[in-house]
Amino acid sequence: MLDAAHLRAELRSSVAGWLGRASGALPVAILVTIVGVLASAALALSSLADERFDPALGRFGLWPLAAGTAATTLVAIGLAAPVALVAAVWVSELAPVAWRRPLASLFEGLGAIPAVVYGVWGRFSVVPFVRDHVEPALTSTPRGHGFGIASAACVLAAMSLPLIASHAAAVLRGVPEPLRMTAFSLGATRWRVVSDVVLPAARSRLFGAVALGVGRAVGESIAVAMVIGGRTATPTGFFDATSTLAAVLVDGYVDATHPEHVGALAVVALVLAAIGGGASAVARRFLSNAPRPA
Amino acid sequence: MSSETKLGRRRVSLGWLPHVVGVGALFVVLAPALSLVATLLQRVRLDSAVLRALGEAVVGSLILVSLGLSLAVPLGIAAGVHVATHPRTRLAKLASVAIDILSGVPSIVVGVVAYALVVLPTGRFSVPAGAVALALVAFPEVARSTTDLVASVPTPVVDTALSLGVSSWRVTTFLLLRARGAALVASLAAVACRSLGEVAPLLFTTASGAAFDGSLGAPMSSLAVEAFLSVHTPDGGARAATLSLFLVAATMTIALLVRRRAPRSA
Amino acid sequence: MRPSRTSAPEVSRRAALFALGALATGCARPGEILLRGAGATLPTHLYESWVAAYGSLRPRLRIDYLSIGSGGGLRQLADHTVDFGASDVEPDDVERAAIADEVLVLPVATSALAVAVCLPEGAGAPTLVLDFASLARIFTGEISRWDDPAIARLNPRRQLPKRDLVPIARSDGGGSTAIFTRRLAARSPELARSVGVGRSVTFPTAVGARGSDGVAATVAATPGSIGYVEVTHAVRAGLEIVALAEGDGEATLPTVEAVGRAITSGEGYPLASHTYLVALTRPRDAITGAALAHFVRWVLGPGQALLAPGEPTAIASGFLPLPAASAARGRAAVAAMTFDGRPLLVID
Repeated sequence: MLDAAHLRAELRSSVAGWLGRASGALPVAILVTIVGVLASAALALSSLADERFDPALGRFGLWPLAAGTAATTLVAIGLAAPVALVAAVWVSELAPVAWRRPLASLFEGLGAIPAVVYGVWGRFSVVPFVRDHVEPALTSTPRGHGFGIASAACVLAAMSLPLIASHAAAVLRGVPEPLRMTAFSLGATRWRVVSDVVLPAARSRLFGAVALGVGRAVGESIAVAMVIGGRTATPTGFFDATSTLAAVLVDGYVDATHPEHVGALAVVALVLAAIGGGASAVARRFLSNAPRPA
Repeated sequence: MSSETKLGRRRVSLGWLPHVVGVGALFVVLAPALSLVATLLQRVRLDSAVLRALGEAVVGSLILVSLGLSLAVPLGIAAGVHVATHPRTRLAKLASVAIDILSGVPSIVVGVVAYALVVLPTGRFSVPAGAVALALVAFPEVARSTTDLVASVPTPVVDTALSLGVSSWRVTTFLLLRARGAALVASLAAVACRSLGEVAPLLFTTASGAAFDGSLGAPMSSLAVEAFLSVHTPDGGARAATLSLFLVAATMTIALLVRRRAPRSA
Repeated sequence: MRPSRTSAPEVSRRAALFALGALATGCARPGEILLRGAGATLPTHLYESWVAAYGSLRPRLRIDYLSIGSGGGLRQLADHTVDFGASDVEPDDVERAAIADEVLVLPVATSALAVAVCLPEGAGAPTLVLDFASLARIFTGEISRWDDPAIARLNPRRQLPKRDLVPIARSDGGGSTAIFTRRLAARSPELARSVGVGRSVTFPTAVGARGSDGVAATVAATPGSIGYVEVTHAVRAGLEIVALAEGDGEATLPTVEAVGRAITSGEGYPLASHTYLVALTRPRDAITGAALAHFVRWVLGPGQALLAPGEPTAIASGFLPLPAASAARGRAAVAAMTFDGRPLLVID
């Protein structure tokens, strides 16, 4: 029937549908825009395989930056992930019940601390500590400044610990209680319940939590830039000043005047977007796997 | 409580071992934060210059975060609702993947893109440029939270509402606001908290400036950017430490408050 | 041609960007002329003082200076989004090519780079002396210890500590790096070859710090370090400054007198430099072009009085005035700015 109310309802629903499709298209449009802006400024890929990133000499190889990123991320996550997972398991499963909620809240609270604050801490405390105590103890010819992969990995690890721990604790909380109850009713001890029932059920989601931590660590620019020493050369040791893909953008983007330099930095940004975006997409896939009954 | 495990063919009692290891790990997780707070407290100084910088930065952050969220929240909720209510269409699946990817793009990349998109064409650092950058960072988080919240409403409730003849987007909005309102506010507060601490999106867009004089077309300071830039001032780090301490207090407070209202996170 | 179909999000995004752009641009009020400049952070205070003083002479003129780094300023000039750029060092060939149009590069004030060190054991010792050859070898990593014979030879009366040298450089692209590498490369082909010359340079062993104040703070906090910063920053951070010996001259510290002498006669402190204003010789717009020409001529004339010793601007900004001859040359060069073939200084 063609009365006004009906027409209005039809119009409203088609506008709503149109708006709905527009909102669905928006994320894709944004992603395409980001990639497009970067790609339009990017440099030809051939010169990026150079082993030096030296703007003054016209060399824009990404290898030193990739090496710095890989080293800091691997060390940081390698240290932080196991500890964070163990802490999360203890807090969610083995701690006295009254402590569980406050401790999990504490993890989330600490994870909210911005990266720049960790950078400030790194600059004022970690760098002098590495310079005065760690480096002399571990090497015979200390560089004497305290910047480098050691400090950066320390700061990144400190940031990643509460993040991974809070995600992991949430994952473990999501394991259905009936699973545990059944295991208990079969006579399993608390530890057996954790190791043989809860952890296997949550395994892929815990992996997703770690993957999120990795993605975040790769993309961390500010805190790392403050302690890594800002030198775009391949590090030869843990105490060498170096740089990462993300940190070089912090330092260089606005001041780069040579178009080649800007192009190289645009490629760096693209690479970071790909790694970070890829890690996040993969992590979400793992995180959304519901725990399967054992 | 007994902790036992099998070692070979014998039952071995683990005793307190899991607890020792667990508490040790817990301590390692908490220790850096303690060191961090101690470092900051050591250098905090509340003299007039620092307080003025703090005041300007707080005003700047409030303006930038509220502008950025006012862009990101409506668009993010709309996108999230669409993805959640059309699970089988190709567009929604594509959008869902795009949202996942976007939420992993580092914020420094967003800053670089915002510089190219807004600062270069307009020829200046400005507040809207920073707001756009923050919105780009916040949008995927809002969208993802919205999708999760909508998906968490039990199907029978949705079906009942639909069976009453209301159109599907109306149902979704109603359910979102009524059934998951508190959780939605909590997740938005979490996004605001994250935006407060962002440096990279603002470094190339709004940069740093003097007191806000009503003009949006000028650079403006913000808490996180000022903390980053003032690390090297010759005042012994007082400004950086004070701003950082304020940031820690603000973000942890928001996170803890949010947590109480939305216990089921992730 | 079939009109392209733009989807709703695309249209709304463009509309939003346009609105933001209009907001962000800060339209000048009617009857007001708006000049925009951008560039190095160091002369920010200087430009602000000039703008304030000149503004009282020309109430209808508004000049905005954005301190986004000298590289950023040159890029904005190349994109024609600002009317003048401010740089700590003359633009090199690639930068000039990027701007495409012919540019005027005018020194507007005098400054100097200091070489600063952190030697806690050296309290009360005679001033440290270095020359460009040894500095080059320090920054290529060849000299890595303070008690190296090359340094000891220049400092016979000073007890040098047995510790490693930590060179500190700028990690962001800065004019100070360009000036420093240019001067060193002239003395050291090795440095020119292995490190290069320019704003963004990768030294083999140096630690990078962000900004000149970052270099100053890092030098202050790292025992055994040596870095290059503008004199103002070195003084503010309380660093020990090195006396530079160049050629047969005796070692000089960057005092006002030595810097002034270097600029006028070429002898004196060897790391004296200028800060430059970069503008198009043929601006795009007659009104703003004329306003800019008159402003620059004022800066090179009465504006220099703000930098006289003892003036608050001179003290706060850390710059020195240009020698009279340079200023006169600059004023003559401004007369070459034209629009449509007609000199801008005549149009008022």
